[in-house]
Amino acid sequence: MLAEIAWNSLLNRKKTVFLTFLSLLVSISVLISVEYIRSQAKESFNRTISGVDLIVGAPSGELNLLLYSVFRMGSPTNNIKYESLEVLNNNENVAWTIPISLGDSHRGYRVVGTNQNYFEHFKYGNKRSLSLQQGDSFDGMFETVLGADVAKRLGYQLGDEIIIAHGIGNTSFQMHDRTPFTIVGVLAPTGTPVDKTVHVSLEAIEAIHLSPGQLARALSGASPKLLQPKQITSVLLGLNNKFATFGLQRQLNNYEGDRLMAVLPGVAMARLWELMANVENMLRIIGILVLIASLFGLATMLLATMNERKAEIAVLRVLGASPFVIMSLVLIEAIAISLVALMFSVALVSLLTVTMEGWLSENYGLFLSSSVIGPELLVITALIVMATLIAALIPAFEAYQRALHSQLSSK
Amino acid sequence: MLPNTVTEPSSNFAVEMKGVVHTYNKKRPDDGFIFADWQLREAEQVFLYGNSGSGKSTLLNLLSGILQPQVGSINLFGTDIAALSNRARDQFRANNIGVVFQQFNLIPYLNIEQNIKLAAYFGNASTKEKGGVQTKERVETLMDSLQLSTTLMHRKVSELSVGQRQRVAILRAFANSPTLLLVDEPTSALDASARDAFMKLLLTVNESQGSTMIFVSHDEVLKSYFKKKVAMSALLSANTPDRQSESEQMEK
Repeated sequence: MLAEIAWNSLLNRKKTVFLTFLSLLVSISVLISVEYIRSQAKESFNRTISGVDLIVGAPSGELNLLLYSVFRMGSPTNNIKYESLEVLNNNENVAWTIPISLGDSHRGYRVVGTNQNYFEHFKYGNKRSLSLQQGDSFDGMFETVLGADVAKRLGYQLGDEIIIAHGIGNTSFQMHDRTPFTIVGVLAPTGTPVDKTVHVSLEAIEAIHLSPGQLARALSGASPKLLQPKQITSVLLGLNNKFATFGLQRQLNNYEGDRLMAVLPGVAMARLWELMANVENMLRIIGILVLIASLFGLATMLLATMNERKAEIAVLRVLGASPFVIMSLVLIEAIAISLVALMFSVALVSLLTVTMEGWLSENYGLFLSSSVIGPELLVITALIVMATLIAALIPAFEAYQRALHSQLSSK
Repeated sequence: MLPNTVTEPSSNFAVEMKGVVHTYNKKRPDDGFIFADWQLREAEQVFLYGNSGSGKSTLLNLLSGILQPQVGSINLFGTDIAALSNRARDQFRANNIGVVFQQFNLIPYLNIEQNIKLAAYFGNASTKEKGGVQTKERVETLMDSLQLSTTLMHRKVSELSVGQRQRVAILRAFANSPTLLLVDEPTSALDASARDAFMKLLLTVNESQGSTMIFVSHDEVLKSYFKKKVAMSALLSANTPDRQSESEQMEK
C-alpha cells in the first residue's frame, strides 16, 4: 500500500521525476559502464596468456616485450638470433618453446611466424589450448591459419588466398604479392589477441622477404639454406620445473652469445595492470562523483516538493499514519526512482555493449566475455540503494518534521 | 489490549475533557488555551461555533490526537488519548476517528478506491480481519446513499467535481466506521443550495452510521441543522486570555 502511494505520488509529478530519473540514468550508466569495462578489461587481459613461464626477446622494456609478443601491440625494437632458440631448446629445464616472428601484417591484422609448437603449447584463459574450428594447422610453405576474428571480419573461407604486407600498419606500400598464402585452417574463438592474428610458418616469413631470384632458387630446392630462419622476435618458454624460472631468467639475461632479455609474464602483466589501475580508479571516482551529484539532485527534488505535500502529509496523519510512515514514503519514492533508473541503465549498457562488442575488440583489444548482469552489479545495486537512502534522509527527515508538526486546519 | 477497546463500559461519554491546557509556546504558558471540562454523550451531534482564533482548530487537533495537551486528560470512549504513546495514538485515530475537512481530506493523486483503502490500511488488524468484504459492502452502501456511482471508484480525486469531492470526503470519513466524526468548515466553498444538500447528506449518513459528530464552523447559518449547539467560548475556561481583544488591540 505504501509503495502504491509512493508510486502514484511520483506519477503525479511526472516532469520533475522524469528529469531526476534521466540524471540518475546517465550517472548510473556511467558507473555501470566503468565497472563493467574495468572488470572485462581485467578479465580479458588476464586470460590472454597462461602457462608461459618466461618470455625471451631482445632487451628493451619488460612491458614492451610483453606487449608485442603477447598482446600484438607496439612494435618490436630488435630481433634475437635463431641460434638462441636452439640453445633454449637444448636447455634441460625447458619443456617447450614457441618462437614468434613479427613484422608483417594482413589488412591490419598482424602476421605471426611460428611453428607447430604454437598450436600445441600455447594456452590462454584457464590453461585452455588452441583448437581449430576449421581445417588444419599449416603444413606447407605458403599456408596460413587465421584467428577466428580475422576469418569472420574479412569473410575468409578455407582455400582462399591472402597476400601479406610488409610492416604492421593498416596500409602498406610493400606487398609480398608474389607469395600468396592459402588459408588451411581457422582457429576457434579465444577472446584473446590470437583471434586477430594470421599465423604462418617461420620459413614462410623468411621466404616472403627474399628477392625474386633468391625465392625461385629457394623454392626449387637449389639453396634450401635461404629458407632457414636467421632471426626471430621472441620466444615463449614453458619449463619442466617452475623452480628453475629465476635461475634461467638470470642465465638468459647474462647470456653472452646473443643479447637476450627474459621476463616473467605474470610480473610484467601485474606491472602493466598497475599502470592501468590509475586510469581505472580515476574513472571509478568520476563515476561515483557523477552519481553523488545526481543523488543530490534527487534529494533536492524531493525536498522542493515538501511544501506542496503539506496537505498530503496532513491527510496521512489524520488517517493515522505515524510520522515514521510519512518518512518511509519519501524514502520509498527515492529508492523507486533509483531502482528504475538502475534497471534502465542496465538495459542501456547491455544494449551498448552488445552493439559495440566488435568495435571494442577491434580497436582496443577488449573482449567482452560476460554480460553486464553479474556479481559486480549486485554490489553496485547495494551501493546505489545505500547512497540513495543516505541522500534521501534529508528530505525524509524534513517530511518527518512536517508530519510531526502538521495540524488540522481549515485554512 | 487494543486502543479502541472501551475500557470503562460504565462511561457512555464519547468525549470527556478534564482540565485540558494547551499552549503552542511553551515559554509563554499563559498564551494558550485552558479548556473547560466538557462531556459529550455517544451518538450525539454537536455544532460548535466560534470565530477564527477562538480555539476551534486547537480543540479538533487535540481531539484527534494530533496535538497533545500539556495538562489534563481527553477521554474518547473511555480511552485517555493524552496518555497513549504516539504510536498508539496514531493507531487510535486510524481506528476511531473520521474527519471531513474542506481541504486536507483526500490525496489528490490517488483514486477514490485507493483513498478509501488508505484509511483501511492504517486501521488496525482486527478491522482488516473483519474482512474486505464487509468494508466493501459498507462502502458500496455508502456510495449508494451518497449518490456516487461505483464507476467513479477508479477516478482520481483531482478529476472529480467539487460536489463529488465533498461526497467522497464523507465516504472516506465513514469508510472505517469511525466512532467519532470531526467535521471542520466543510461547506465554505459551496453555494447555499449545494451547502444544504451537503449538510442533509452528511447528517443522514451520520445518523445511519451512529457516529458521534462534532461539527465546527464559524458560519452560524448552519446552526439550524443541529439540536445541540455550543459556542466555543463556553468551552474555554474563564482564565484563557482573550485572544480576540488582544489582536484587536495590536491592530490599533
